[in-house]
Amino acid sequence: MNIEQGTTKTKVWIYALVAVFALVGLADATYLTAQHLSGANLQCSVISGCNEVLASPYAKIGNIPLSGLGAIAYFVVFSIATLIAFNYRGLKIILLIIVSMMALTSLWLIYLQAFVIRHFCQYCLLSAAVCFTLFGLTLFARFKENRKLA
Amino acid sequence: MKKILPVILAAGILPILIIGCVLAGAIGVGIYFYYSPTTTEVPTPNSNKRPPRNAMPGANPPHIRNNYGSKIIVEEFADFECPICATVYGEMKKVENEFGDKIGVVFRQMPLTSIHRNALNASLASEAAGKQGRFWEMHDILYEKQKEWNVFPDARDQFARYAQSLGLNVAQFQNDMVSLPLKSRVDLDIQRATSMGITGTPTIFINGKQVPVNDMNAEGLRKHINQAMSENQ
Repeated sequence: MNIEQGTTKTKVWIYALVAVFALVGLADATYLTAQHLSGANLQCSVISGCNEVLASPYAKIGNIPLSGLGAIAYFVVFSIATLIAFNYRGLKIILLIIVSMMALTSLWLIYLQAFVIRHFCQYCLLSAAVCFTLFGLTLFARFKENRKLA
Repeated sequence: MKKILPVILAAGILPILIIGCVLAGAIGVGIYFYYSPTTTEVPTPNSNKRPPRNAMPGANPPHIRNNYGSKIIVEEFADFECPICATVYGEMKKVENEFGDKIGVVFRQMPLTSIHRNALNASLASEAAGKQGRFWEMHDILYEKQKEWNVFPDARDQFARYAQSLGLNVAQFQNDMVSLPLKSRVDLDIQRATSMGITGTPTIFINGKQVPVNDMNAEGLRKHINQAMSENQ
């Protein structure tokens, strides 16, 4: 196996990992979106407790649940990572831009939970962890590719 | 499969197939969780069904604000320690200010004691204040200062301070908080909630018709009140 083949294999694995983590984020965001649309987060109950974060005004933009936008973002990341792993070109920069925006948004949402709402939502923290992982993996992939070129 | 896979790979459509499957799966999962019931025997949070005819009556007389003779009765089941109830309290205030004595607002105690440590005492505090004629004032204070008192494992001292600020007889207030008659009032409201299949707070009915949870804001409540008014003309 020569260096190019080894590098290509590494690239495939990294972007496959990105796709897998994006799937985790997609599942999380899809669940939250379904809960939001069904109204299950808009009450306290003995079954599900109270979710101050998901019932707060910050959980939506207009009438659109933030988790829905997150689900779309995760799906786009999954799609792009899958295409890159199958050698479709020209998408790496787009992926980096999207995961960077997702990571920045997650930072903002963590700030809101910590200092404004003063409660945390476990599904939101999971999503933030996934976003930071995606950002880290994408940066790592770019680093490996730049080293190869150098 | 051995013959099909190379063709798919050569055609470059495998990634498209994968993406398509994930999209379909995500939609399926979303639909499943949307319709997944939280319990099997209660109305879903977004229902606007009417309660059953054999619903228990609740505490009598109920706590009612504004015009008791109003044709439009807004009945709210709430927990003073529920943060969502505190948010809806603000929305209800806007609506009450707009509609004035055209609507009567009934409050029903529904403390979620298994998840809120001070909820029952908060209910009893409001009932004790009500015995001295200041139920709604205590109701407002409990919501407005919720973040102040819900940090305490036992907020009864805090409630006594609120009673004092309202000019109540604090000794009587504290005795009434532990009295059986007031506990019975809370129990009767809880029984009413249970008989109506309510498991979450806040739950609001307008002339007996449940307001969907997505409409428990000023705009939604306004819409449902106007609808009830047009039905009553």
